Amino acid sequence: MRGLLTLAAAAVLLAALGVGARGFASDARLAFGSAPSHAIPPEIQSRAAALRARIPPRESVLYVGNANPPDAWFSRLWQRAFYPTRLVIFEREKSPVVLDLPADLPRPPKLEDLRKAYGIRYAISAGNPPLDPGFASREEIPPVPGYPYAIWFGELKP
Amino acid sequence: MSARIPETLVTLLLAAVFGLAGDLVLARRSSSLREWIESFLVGAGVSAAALFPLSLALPGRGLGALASLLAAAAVLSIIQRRRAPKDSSPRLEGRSSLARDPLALALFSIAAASGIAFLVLNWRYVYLWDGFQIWASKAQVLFYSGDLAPDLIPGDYFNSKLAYPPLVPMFEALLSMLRGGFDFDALKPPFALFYLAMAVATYHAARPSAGRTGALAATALLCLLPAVSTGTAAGGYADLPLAAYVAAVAAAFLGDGAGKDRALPWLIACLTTVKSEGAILAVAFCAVALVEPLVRHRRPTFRAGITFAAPTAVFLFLRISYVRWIGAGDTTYAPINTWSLGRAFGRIPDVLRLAAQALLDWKTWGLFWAVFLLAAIALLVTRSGPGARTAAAATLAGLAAYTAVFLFTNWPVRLQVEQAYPRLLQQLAPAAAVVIVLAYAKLREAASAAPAAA
Repeated sequence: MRGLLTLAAAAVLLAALGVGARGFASDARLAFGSAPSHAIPPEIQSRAAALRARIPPRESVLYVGNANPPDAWFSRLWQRAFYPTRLVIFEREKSPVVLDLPADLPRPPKLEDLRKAYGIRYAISAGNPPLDPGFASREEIPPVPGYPYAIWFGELKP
Repeated sequence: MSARIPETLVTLLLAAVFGLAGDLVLARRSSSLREWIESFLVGAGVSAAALFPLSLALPGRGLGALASLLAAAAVLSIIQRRRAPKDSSPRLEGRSSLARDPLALALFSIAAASGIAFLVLNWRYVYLWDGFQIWASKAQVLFYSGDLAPDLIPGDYFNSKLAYPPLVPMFEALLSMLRGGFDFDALKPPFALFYLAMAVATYHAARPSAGRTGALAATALLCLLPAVSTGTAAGGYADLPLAAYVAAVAAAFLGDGAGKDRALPWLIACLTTVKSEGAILAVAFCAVALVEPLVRHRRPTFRAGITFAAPTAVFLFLRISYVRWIGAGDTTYAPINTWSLGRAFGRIPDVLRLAAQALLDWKTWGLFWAVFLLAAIALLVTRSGPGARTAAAATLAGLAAYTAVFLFTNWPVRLQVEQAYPRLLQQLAPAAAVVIVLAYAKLREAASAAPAAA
């Protein structure tokens, strides 16, 4: 019985060593191969800082993505880089997860409603191609790493 | 990436302050690493629970008030340390050098190497999805707004996550406050601390019953798990901190500390401050702890039961009030009602099958959960002693509760199980590792006794 237990313990430990070594090797390849060095790319940080300096304090900014390419991560990078300036994200992208709910979720607010609610006068639009939320004037922001598509910033028509 | 030495030092300072505050809550004077870790976890958990009432009382200044209260608690605790006599925790006999025990040395080396691998990954990775989108983002909001007040933008994904418990964001926000600014790239050092807490607490949970080698085996088994030491654990998720609390609960229940009874109810209550599902664990652990004396035909006094459950009840009340106050409406899970119960009933076979697949997934867990299930059954059906049986029952209860939540998901069940179950299992892994070595120790003891009896 003792011999059997020792054998079983050795098997469990060897299996753990195998699984662990494989897991560490796989993560090490990722960590030192392709993982970014910054949570928010410094290029986004610096561009967000420059744009924040151009808008009045306490002003909210609209972010309009385009479902092409998928935008969920990228839009939040801008949102967190702008913080504490409020970046209101207008969701164009349908969630890939279809929820099973007894009733439909409340419809997301329309662009005009968001503009009205936050008195928004400025917008960023990114995508392939970016959408025009009603710019009065706009300029193209230099591309940022990991997002090889156009990004526009500008003032909206009243 | 830099070595983040200033942030590491600030993290250690914060840990010391949490530890001193925890000592005050537990009315004791920590002297060993195990006691310090317990006090650190209690101090951090109580602070996180206090953040909500402080946010209500002092809008915009809740975090600052918490920092001031923590500083005052630390000073008071230091004064008490000077006055109070040192706790005389019993020390285990038979301490000998690791070098004289090659197996123990090998197991220690495996655990240490795994810990170092985690530290390297934790340093190198910035954030994976939840680490950035939920936990560190909530810390950013807390740091700038100074309280837990919601700033909800209609339709934003982040809204539903604002109601998550505040312990990890609180730690990250306090770290930012002390370092003089918020930087997403500077917030990883606390996770190393939680990893250390988890490993040390797991060792101490197994040590009294399984001996040093058994305890090191539990720690090595745990630290070798990819779900515990790589991936999301190193990506800034809150599952690792919750695993540290689970390990500390196991250590407080099974360990050899003199003050274990004092720390246990607080540690169970603190589970509610780390992740939403911590509330499920807190209720499950509390229920097992309260029922355990009945199973042993010992009638607990009403007063003892109330005293034990009080911290969890208060923390649950704060947690529910906080969720209602935020009012963000997370649609991931359905509330329990006639409709969701009917749907849940029909999902039982699917959830069981998917859970079994996940538990037995070789690439993620090896033999870990298969052996845990055998070990838990062995402890429950043999005369293994009340402590080991209760530990097995509590871990099984946690596993059952964590499996049952998928009956109520609004997501496609398979997708939700694939994404969330490994992280829920990660939280329970410290307790499961302890159960495995306890069963091994008991079975070995029984095998040794059998020939002697014959």
